[in-house]
Amino acid sequence: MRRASLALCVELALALGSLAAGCRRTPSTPTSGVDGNAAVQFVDVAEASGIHFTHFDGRSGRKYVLEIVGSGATFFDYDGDADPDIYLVNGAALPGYEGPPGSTDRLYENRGGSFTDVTEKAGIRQSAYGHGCAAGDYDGDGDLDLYVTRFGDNALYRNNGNGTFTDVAKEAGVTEPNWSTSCAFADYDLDGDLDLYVVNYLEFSVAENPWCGLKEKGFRAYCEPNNFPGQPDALYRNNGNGTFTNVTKEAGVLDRGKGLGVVWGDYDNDGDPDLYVANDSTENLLYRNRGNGTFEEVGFASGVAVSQDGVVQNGMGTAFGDWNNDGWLDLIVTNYAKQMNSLYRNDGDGFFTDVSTSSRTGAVSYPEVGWGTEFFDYDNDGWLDIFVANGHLHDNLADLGQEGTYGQRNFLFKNRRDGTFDEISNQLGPSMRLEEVSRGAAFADYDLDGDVDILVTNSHGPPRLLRNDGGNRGHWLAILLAPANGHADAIGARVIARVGSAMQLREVRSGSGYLSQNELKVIFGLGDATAVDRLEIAWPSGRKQVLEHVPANQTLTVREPREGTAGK
Amino acid sequence: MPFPRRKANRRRFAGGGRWGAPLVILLLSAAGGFSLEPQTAADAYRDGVDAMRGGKTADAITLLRRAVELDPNLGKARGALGTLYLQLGRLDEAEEQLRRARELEPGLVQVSINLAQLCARMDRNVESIAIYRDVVRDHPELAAAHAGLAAACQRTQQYADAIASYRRALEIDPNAPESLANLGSCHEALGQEDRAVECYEAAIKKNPKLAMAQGNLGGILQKRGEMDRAIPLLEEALRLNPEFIGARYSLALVLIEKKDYGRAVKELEAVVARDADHIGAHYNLSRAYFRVNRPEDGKREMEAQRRLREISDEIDLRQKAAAGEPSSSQRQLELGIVCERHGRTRLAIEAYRAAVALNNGNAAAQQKLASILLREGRLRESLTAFQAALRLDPNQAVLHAGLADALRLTGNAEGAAAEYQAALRLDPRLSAAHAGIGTLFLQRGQLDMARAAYQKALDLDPQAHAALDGMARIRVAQNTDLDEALSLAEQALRIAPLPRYHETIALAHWRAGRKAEALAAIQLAIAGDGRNASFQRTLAQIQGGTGSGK
Repeated sequence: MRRASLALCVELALALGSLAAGCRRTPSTPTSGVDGNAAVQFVDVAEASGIHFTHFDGRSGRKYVLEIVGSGATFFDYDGDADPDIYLVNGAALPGYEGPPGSTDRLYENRGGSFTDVTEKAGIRQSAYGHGCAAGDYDGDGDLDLYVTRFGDNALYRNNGNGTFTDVAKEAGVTEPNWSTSCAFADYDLDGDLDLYVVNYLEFSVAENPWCGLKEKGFRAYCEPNNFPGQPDALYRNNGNGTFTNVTKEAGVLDRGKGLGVVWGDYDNDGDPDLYVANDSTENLLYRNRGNGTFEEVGFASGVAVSQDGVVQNGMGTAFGDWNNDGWLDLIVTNYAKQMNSLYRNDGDGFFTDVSTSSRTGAVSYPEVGWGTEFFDYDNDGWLDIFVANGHLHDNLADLGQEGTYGQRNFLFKNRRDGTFDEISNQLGPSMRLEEVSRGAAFADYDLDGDVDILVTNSHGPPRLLRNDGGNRGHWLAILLAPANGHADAIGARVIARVGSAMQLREVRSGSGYLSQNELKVIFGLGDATAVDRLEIAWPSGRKQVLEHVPANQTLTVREPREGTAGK
Repeated sequence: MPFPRRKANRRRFAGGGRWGAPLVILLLSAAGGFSLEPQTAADAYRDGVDAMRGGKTADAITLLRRAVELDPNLGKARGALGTLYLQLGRLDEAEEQLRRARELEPGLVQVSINLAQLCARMDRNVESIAIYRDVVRDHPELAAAHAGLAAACQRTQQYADAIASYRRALEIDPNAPESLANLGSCHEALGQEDRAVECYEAAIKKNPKLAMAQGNLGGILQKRGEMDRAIPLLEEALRLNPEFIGARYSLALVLIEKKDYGRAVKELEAVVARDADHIGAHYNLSRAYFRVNRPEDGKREMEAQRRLREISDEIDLRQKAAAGEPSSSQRQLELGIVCERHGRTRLAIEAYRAAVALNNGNAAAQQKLASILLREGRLRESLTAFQAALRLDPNQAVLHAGLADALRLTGNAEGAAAEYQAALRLDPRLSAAHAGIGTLFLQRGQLDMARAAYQKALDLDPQAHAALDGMARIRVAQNTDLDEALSLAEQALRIAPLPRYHETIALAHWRAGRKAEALAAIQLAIAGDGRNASFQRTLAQIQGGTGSGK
C-alpha cells in the first residue's frame, strides 16, 4: 500500500498551534480502549474562556411569540488561523420592555482556546431581533462570510479579510422580508458557488399580538403556531457576482410551512445536496434534488414528514448523520413536549423507517421540548452519538395546568452500535445535568485536542461552552478540506473513512441542528485504530480523491488536486 | 409549541365486547315450558325469565310486558325487561324500565349495574359513575361493581380512580383476567408500560383467550422494537378477535419494520375498511403502497390522511379553545358544531351537553343537542332536549317540527300531529312539517292525504328527502310505479344517506320481484341501524318470501 507521501498533494498541518498564554489545549496522546465513556466529562468553560454573553429575549410580559424561538451560534474560522471562532446571535428589546438594554450579537475570536470579544472591532452591528446564523464563503474570496437571520431584515456579513465585516445583504438581495429562523449554505446547482436556503416561520406582527392562554384565569401564554399562517421559505441562487436571485418558486420549494430547522445532505447518494426542513405543526419537508436546478418534495412518500402514526408534529431542529455506518445519511428531528423526537433510519432505497421507539431515543424525549441537535462522536469510538438541547417555552407551566418544567436537562445518546442508544447525560459531569432553557447547539473541537466540544445557547441566559475532557482517549482524525478554487470552505464535500471493513461517512455542511452551525472541519473517531486505511473525498467540484494509511491523532489539511483524480 | 395532543385510544376494553355483556338476574324456573297468557304477574315474570334463558327473546318480551301490565310495581319484572331491551340495543326502552325498576326496588343490585352500563353506552359517563359509586358504597363486596366503576372511570380518562377500583375488584376476585387486562390498559394510558406489561402477562396466564391482553401486549412490544415477541401475540389476538383494529394496526407496523410490505398493505387495508378515520393506518398504508411501487394508491392514501388530519386539527383547535375557557358554553357549542360537521357525532353530543350544562339558557346548544339526538335515534333524550329548547324559544317552528318527529317515532301520533300543526302555524312554509304530516297519514293508510302533504313539502323544497321517500313508499304501498318509487328513494338517499331510505329501496325491489337486490338493500339499512325493528321485520319478510308483489 502506498503511503500518503507518494505523489499526493497533501500537507500535514500540525494540530498544535501556538501555545499562547492561557491555552487550555491538552496533548493529544490517546490511550487505548474504545469504551471510554465513563472517563468523558463535559465541563462548562464559557465564562472562564472569555465568553461573557447573555442572551436577551426582550421579554416584556406581553408574551410575543418571538421570545420563545431563541437564538443560535456558529463556529467558524473567520480569521483563517485554523481554530474555530464563535458568533452568538442575540434577541432585542420588544415593545413594552422597560429594563436596561440587553446585549447584542457577539463575535469571539479564538485565541488558543480562550476567546476575545471582537464584535466592535469587526464592525458588526446588530440591526434587529436575531435568531439563526450560518457561515460560508459565498463570494469565493477565501474567507468565511456570515449570514444572520432576524425578525426584520437579515444580514449578510461579508468578510473583508482583515478582521472586519460589512453587511451587504441589501446589495446581495438577501435581506428576506419574512420572519427567518434557520439558514444554510450549499451549492445545490453544483456551479461552484454557495447558494442559500432561508427558513421562514410565521406571519406575525408585534403590533397585533393576540392574547393566548387561560383567559378566565388571566394566565397569558405564548401563542401556538396554529394561531398564525406560515411563511414560505426562500432559496437564493448565487449569481456568482456577489448577488443572489430568489428562485424559490422555480426551484419547486415554495411552501407555506412553519419552518424552524433546516439541513442540507445528500440522502440519496446521487452526488447533489438534498434539503430537509423541520416545520412546527405542519409536515416536515424533504426536497430531493433532481439535479436540474429543481427539487421534488418527497417527505411524505419517503416517511419523514410526520410521526409513525401519521401525526404532524412540532418540528424544531434537525440533522443528517450516518449513525449506523451503512453509508446512508439518517435523520433526526426534535419535537415539542408529549411528542417523541423522530429518529429516521435511511433504508437506502429512497425511504426511511421511523426508529424513534426501537432506537430508545424517543420515549425519553417525550416529556421534553427538543431544539438543537446533532450527530457527533463524543467518545471517538467510531460511532455517531446524538446530542439534543432541551428547554420549554412556557415559564408558567403550572399556571397553565401543564406538566413539565421550564428548564430541562439536555440529552446525550450514546450509540450502542446495535441500532439502539443509551441516554447518558447524567454520567458526563455536572455541566451536562444543568436544567436550562436551551435552544441551539454548535459543535467543534475548539481547543484542538482531538475531541468535539459543544456550544449550547440558552434562551434569556448565558451559553454553555462544554469542553470535552476525555473524548480524545479514542484515536481520531480531523480533516480540513481546502478546495482547489481557493474558497474558504468545501461545503458539500463528502468524506468517507475506512478502517478495515468499517466505514464512516461525513459531509462538510453549513447550517444544521437549530439556528446554528458547526465548524467545517470533519472529525472521525477511530477508537483503537491508529490509522485510517483509506480516506475517500468527494469534492464539491466533482473530483474524487483517495488517501491511504492516514495516521490518526492529527488535523490534516487536504488540498484538492487541481487536475484529475488523486490516485492511490 | 402547542398544548399536547391526546393520543387516540385504539385499545379495547376486555370483556368480549365493547360494552361488556350486561349481567342478567336468572331465577331458575323449576318447571320447563310456559304460557303466553299467564294469569298472574309472578307467573308472567317467571315464564319470561325462562324464555330469556331459552333464548326466546320475543316471547320473553311479551311475557315480561305482561307481568308489568299485571303489576306495574313489580320491580324485578321491569328490571328483567330493561335488561333484555339493553341486550337488544333498545336503549330508550331499556332506560325507562331500568329506572323505574330501580325506583321501585332499590335493592336490585343488578338493575343498578345494568342502568350504569346503559348510561355509559349513551355517553352519560358522569351518571354512570355516580350509579356505580352508589352500588359500591352499598355493596363493597361486589367485584363486578368495582370493575364497572373502574371501567366507567377509564372511559373518562380518570385513570388513577380506575386503577384504584380495578385493584379493589381484583382483591375481591383475583381470578378476573378481564379486570387485570383493563388495569393494564390504564397503566398503559398513563405511560406506565412496565406495569401494563405485567398486568397483560398475568391476564393472559389466567385466560389465554383474552384477545385484548394479547393484542395490547403485542402493541407495546412492537413499540419497543421487540418484533419477534410481538408477532405471535398480535396474531393470536386477531385469531381470537378478527375485528381488533388496534392489534391489526400494530401487526402492520411490525410487518413494515420487517419490510414485508405486501402483507402490511393487506393488514392496513383491513384496518381502514373497518375504521375509515384511522389516521395512522392511512399514513402507513400510503407508505406501504409507495414501497410496493403503487404510487397512485400511495398518493390517494396520502390525500385521505391529510384530509383526516385537517379535520383532526380543526377539532383539536376547538378543543383547546374550550379548554382555555372551561366555563364558556359558547366554546363548547362551537366545538360541537365543528365535530358535528365532520361527523364526529359522539364528540358533538358531548360538547353540546357540556354547553347546555354550563348554560341551560343556551338555546342554540339545546337545539343542536335535540336535533343530533333525534338523528341518532336517541328518541327519549331528544324529546327531553326539544322540550327544553322550546321552553327557551317557543316560537321556533323547526323545534316544534323536531319535537313532532321525535313524538312520531316514539309512537305518539297525536302529540306529533299537534306539534306539526304548531310548527306550521309559526311557519306555513316549513317543508319538514308538511313531510312529517305526510308520514303520519301514510302510517294511518291515508295515502291520498299523505301524497298531498308530501307534494306540498316538495313544492316548498324539492330536496325534502323525507318527502321523496314518502312518495316512494306510497307507490310501494300501492304496488304501482315501482321503478319510480326506486328512483325517488334513491334520490332521497343521495341527499341524505339515512338507513330508512335503504329500506324503501329494499321494499321497492322486493315488490318488483327482485329479491337479491332487496336483500342487499335491507342489509344496508340494518348496517346503518341494527336496532331498527322495522328493518328486521322487512328482512324477515324478504327472506321468507311472504307478501311479495309478484
